[in-house]
Amino acid sequence: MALKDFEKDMMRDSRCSYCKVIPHVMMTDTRFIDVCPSVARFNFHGFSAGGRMVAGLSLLRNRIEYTDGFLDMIFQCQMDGACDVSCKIDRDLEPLQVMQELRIKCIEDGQLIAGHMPVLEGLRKEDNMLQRKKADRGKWADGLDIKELAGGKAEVLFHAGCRYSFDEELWPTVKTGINILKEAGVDAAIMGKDEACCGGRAYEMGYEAELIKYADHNIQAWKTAGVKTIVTPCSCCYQTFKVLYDKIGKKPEIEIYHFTEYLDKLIKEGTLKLKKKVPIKVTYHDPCHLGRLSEPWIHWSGKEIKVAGQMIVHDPAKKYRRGAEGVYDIPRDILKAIPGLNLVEMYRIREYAWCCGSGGGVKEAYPEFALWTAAERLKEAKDVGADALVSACGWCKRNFTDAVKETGKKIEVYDIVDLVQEAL
Amino acid sequence: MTLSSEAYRALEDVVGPENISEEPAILDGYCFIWANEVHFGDKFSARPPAVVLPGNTKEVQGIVKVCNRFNIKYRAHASGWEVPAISAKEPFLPVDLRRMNRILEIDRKNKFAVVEPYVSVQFLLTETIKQGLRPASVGCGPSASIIASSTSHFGCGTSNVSTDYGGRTPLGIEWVLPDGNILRVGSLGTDSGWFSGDGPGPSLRGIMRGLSGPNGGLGIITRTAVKLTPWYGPASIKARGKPNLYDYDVPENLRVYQLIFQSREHMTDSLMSIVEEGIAHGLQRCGVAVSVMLVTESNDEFWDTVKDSPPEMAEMYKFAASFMVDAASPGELKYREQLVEKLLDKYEVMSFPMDDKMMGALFYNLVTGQGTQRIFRVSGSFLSAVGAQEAWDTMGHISRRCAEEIWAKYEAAGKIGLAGESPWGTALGDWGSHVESVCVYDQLDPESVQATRDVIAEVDELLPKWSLGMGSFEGCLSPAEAAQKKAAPYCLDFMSYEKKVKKLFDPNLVSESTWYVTPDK
Repeated sequence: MALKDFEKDMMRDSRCSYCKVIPHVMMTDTRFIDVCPSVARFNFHGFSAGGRMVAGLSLLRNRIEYTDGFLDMIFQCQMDGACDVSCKIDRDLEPLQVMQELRIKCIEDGQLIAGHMPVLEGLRKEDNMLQRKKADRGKWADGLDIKELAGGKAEVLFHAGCRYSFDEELWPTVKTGINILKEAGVDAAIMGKDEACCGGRAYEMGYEAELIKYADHNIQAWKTAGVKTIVTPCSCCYQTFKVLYDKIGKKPEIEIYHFTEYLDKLIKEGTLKLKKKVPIKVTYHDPCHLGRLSEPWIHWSGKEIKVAGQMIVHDPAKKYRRGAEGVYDIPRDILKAIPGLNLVEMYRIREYAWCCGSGGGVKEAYPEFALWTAAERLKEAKDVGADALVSACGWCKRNFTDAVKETGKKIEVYDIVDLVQEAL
Repeated sequence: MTLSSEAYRALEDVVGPENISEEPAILDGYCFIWANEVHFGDKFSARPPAVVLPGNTKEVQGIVKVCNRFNIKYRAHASGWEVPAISAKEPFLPVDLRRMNRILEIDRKNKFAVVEPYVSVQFLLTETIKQGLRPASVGCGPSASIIASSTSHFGCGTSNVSTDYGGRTPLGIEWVLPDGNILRVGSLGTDSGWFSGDGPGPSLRGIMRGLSGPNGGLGIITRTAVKLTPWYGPASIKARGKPNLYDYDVPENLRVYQLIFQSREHMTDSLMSIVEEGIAHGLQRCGVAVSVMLVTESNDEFWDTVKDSPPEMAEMYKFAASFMVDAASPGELKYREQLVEKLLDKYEVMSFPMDDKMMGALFYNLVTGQGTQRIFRVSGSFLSAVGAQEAWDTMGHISRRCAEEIWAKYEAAGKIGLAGESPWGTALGDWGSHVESVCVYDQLDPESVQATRDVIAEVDELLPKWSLGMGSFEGCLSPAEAAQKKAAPYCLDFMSYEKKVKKLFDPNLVSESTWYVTPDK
């Protein structure tokens, strides 16, 4: 698909601005109804999904040329997909796909974002998004007694992802994760220095070729190693393996688990017992890539036809991804299974959750905006009386942790794995 | 129109550099809106020279003064969703009021709220129902601005039988006049608070908005108090399940009905009797198909549901309405339910059986007007081919004449859809009614767009001749006075008075008037 393939969607945008707020019926407190960090921060309509639909059409019609202002408008967005959920309450449009194709077109036309370039250079050279040496990728597991694939075979692969692999502050989470698997008797291996990026974040930045490249590479590597199951603590990798690879026609014949799904399985089958009390009041932040963006891809090929006069229908009938089929209950079930833990919900949750701020290349190119977005979420967490914010993604934890330091907010930030460890 | 660097700097001084832009990609977001292709021949109307985002009344006043000084045409908008909000033949400076989004006060005792322009129906409803009150709903749905719909545009909706329509709800008003002076209307004008729109202090509500509103052509309303009506439901509306077909729990003090009438006259008589009892919370006239749209996730599912229905079924459900009663107590609810049953028996009205899903969807639609947005789903765009406020019996008459004498030939030609004699309509609190015949069209098909233009022009021509009102939604969806000019000879040349008002209040003619009137040169 290309931007021009979505011209009808762009034309049919009514400018209703539903994409700026959570679904109306879910509004319970007017301090927390914005759902799009971009337009909430920058205010001009162009910073919303609706505004970007208009910009896409303008670009196709040569009404506008590339400028720094235009590129900032397109890329100061986490691609979190909340707009897509709100839009599709009443419309059958694809704003998130339009924004994705708009980014791809920018990159194809040579319009690069300065803040992304070193990251992409690093990715192409070292196969990771953190501009670190590939050789250091497996260091997080040093000293752990775990199987590292080096031409060997394993049925279960623990994929740490770029963020957990290189962000030392997050190492305890992945160390805990792999140890839990080991103690549960799961014969899991890691790829160590041979693990490569999933390609998902680069795709969000508009680099489609990188997604294809890493899909091909990873799927081949898994096949060679005989991998049947992948477990990853990174929500972004999870969404990439499960959804984006399928989207580009490279669905791996492998079971993909987010670590929370695997944990939940272990808890529910009794292999993992959470016994110790963790007396803390927490709120759960739905990572976009584990929640709405992880809804399985729906392939459709067909044509629009008109019936009963002007009504547009599809042949064959078309189903839309509306964000509800993500992973929402499992992390909550895990938290509820921890003795003594008090889970309170924020105002914007599940498919209409506010983003942590780090996705879509924002953390790399627009760090202040990333922190602003996270700080807004911390306010919400504090407002519901939480002492800690829990997430299930390294990118979320990093950005929230940075925002806590920046704002001085008195709130703890946990990965859900950290709390499970405390309860074991 | 371009801004001189001096004018840009002057505006920048008022709002700050973060809140003004002349980036073309951003500006295109302020000249693109549904139905532009009908009115202006393209999805994009004239690109503005810049856009500004004021944060308070002082900044709005500053912008207006700069515009008067540099002869810059300006027009303000809130959500920017209604066609007249941002589109025009000639460029103007959009004043995007998005940053003015606060509820300033909810006076529970005196049943009003004071809001800024970006506060929407749902925004205000969310907070007022916590205090047992609700604002009037607006036909275009919960994202509509309270101020835009009550002071500047027509603004009627599904709950207006109990709240009255938007134009009847404003009390004290803060109005930045077209020349930059601030006028405080009603009790606000004598520092007496917000409680009255008519004094002590100047009573200019008629001039401020009249029937259809000046659509931004007469300055900028920055704060308004609006009337609130009792809400007998819970402190928050609960939805469950998954998008886009959330399940709604109908609160225990409300009851929802889908009524089917045997004929036009039967519908008129029955609805008048029901409304006469003063028990309705919400009332919406529309075919059963609209209710089905609310509970189907896409056009595909909708079509799959209805495609095998026999043609006589559509005919049978042509005269239909959804209706909701509320009550302050279980005893009152029992009385009202019994009364409804009695009336339905007396008039032999069929109450269409509904499952919880449809009942919940109708409930939320009757409270907020949420369902309207789904009309866009049908063909990608629509316009109201007729929109009129009339007495109850006249409402049926308009629908019939339009269907028989105008719609039929267009529907036969197959380029637009007009739903025959099943318009959208509602009851107003002053015993009037509102009716809109939705014209769905394909904006990608030039013939469909042209047919839409043609049908609207025909309505503009015929409605005044029939003495059944004015075309183009009583003129408020009519650029360049197209509908007004057709109607003026039949209506005491009302435009000459509007033009005098415009000239008096806007001596420099900078408050952009595409959707209002322009004084003759």
